[in-house]
Amino acid sequence: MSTRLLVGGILVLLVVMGVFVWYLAGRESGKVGEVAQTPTIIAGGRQIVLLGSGATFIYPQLDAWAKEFSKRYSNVRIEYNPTGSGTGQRQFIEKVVDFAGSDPPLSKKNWEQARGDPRGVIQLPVVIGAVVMVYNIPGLEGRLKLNGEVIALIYLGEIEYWDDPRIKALNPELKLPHERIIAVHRSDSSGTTHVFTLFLYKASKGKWPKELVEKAIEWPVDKTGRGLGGKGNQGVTDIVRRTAYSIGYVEYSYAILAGLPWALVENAAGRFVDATPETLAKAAEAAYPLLPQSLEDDFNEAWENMVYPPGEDSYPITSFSFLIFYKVYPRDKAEAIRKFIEWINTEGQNYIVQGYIPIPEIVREYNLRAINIISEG
Amino acid sequence: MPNWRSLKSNVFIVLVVILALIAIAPVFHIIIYITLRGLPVILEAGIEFFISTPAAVIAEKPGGIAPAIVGTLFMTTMATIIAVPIAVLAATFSAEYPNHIITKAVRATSRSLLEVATILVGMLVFALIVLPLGRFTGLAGAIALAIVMIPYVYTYTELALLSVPKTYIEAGYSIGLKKAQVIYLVTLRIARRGVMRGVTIGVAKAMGETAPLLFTAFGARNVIFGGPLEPMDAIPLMIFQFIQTGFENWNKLAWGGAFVLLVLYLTLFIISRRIVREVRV
Repeated sequence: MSTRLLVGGILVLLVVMGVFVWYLAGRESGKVGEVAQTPTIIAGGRQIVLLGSGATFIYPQLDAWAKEFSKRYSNVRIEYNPTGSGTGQRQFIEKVVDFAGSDPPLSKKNWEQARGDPRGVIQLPVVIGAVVMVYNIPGLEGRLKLNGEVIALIYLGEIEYWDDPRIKALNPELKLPHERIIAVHRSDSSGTTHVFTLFLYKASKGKWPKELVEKAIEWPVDKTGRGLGGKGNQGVTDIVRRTAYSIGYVEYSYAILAGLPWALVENAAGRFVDATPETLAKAAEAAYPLLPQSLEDDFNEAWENMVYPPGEDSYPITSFSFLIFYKVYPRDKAEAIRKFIEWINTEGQNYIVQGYIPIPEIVREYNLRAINIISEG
Repeated sequence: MPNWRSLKSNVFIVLVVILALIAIAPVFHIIIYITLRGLPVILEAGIEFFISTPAAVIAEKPGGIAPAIVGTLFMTTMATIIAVPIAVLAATFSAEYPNHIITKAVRATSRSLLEVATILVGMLVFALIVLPLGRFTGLAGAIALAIVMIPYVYTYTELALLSVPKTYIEAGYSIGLKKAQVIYLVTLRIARRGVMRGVTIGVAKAMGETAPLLFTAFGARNVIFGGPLEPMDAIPLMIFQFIQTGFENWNKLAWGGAFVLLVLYLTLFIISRRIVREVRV
């Protein structure tokens, strides 16, 4: 009777799965004891799960923090999923998550909606993001130098060859080949594109139009047949790596992991600056006075001013990524959230993932104000 | 000259074989490529791969994908339990009353569900279940997967039931069986082969889906199994989110996960083949 065989088989499978799950669950709770640090228990020891959603960019860093934090505070588990900045903001408003991550701050509309809600909203700049111009020019010796105007002209399709006089003028010492430039950009909607196009608008002396400052745009260079789109930072990185004579813009951490060279970019003070932890921190420090008075304020204007910041040593295409929290949480969660914010702005700075930049001291202190704002409700 | 014809015939056969190989080459390419990238990861990580949570990107070892494996098994099983009875009963009704208004409605709905992008199924479940509950749950994920499964199981089952020769059904009635008995003892038994095929394809489809889970199960991979009313990870979801990052550890886990999914698929198809073979009409 094969039906009995089938039913029997399914039952056996279910039992085996059940035992497997039970075994794993048991194993895991036993594992907590192995941790070297003495774990602390907060909020009366109840198991607390904090759920976050949003930007892909901060996912690896936030996950590293979440895991390290749970080693200290063993009854708190933090789960964050990279759904994209826009989705994170929406889910925050819909209140299906406990916090959100976003590359740009809450949009004006979302911020007003969140502020009008009894649970309120605060935003914390927790990670520095930088966009670097990666390139693939076989046989090129030395580092390429670019400025906002030239990059804009490349992506507008007006500069066609690497040995264009306008590029040569910035790089008199380089032997640039007479090859067509392939300009690689994001094909998906992205905060990185927003920062990049905002930089082009501000730094190109009017060459880049205001209408082309968005998370996703129609790239003029595509119409010349010299543009290519890639999905995500990883997609753009892969295309640049595979395509000779190409240039692309990606998050700093991806360029480091991929081992691709990136260009020095002219900053607002007129100097060509490399993207390094120091120049990014300098940019963040220069941007600090632009931050709003209170964490409860709208960050949009500040964020726009922050790209292409002042300062001699500031890397120009820099921005902050944000964590967005409510002001009011249920009792246990409030305590866990306060501890988490405190931890990432103090001890957590020792657990920075490769390619990410710790925020300067003054910004950490700015973020720590959140502890006095978040309350039980 | 007499060889001319057989030469033509041989050339033609060689051509057909080559074209057939080209047609199936992508399948083998996928299997070989995933095995080459995924298997070494699992061999390197060993048993840890199946019983650990993923490590942070800064860790030395990548850890494992236990939350994703457990989540996929749990949600696929739940989805099957929900979807199969509904789909098989609906198909039985359709086969028995092919011109009934309900049949027409069900058929139209099922056909359009097959066409709908599965992300929309996820959005639907998000609006109907996640939002009112105020939380993402593995159960919501299972329901979304069930909705994805139903039209496949329904379509295959209906076709199988309709293909049962009328003589067998009439023979059933002639020995005094009631309608329900004929359906259960004769039609469904004979059509078992087709029903199983539908279930297999439905399960395979559900197992590999990412989009319906994004806004329902959501994903949670710092715990192996948090409970059915907690966010839950799944293998395709994990692959989708890990492969987008540039970190080697997570890319490794994604490739290993792809291999696990491949093995699950092949096992599923082999098992269902074996069961089908044992059915004697």
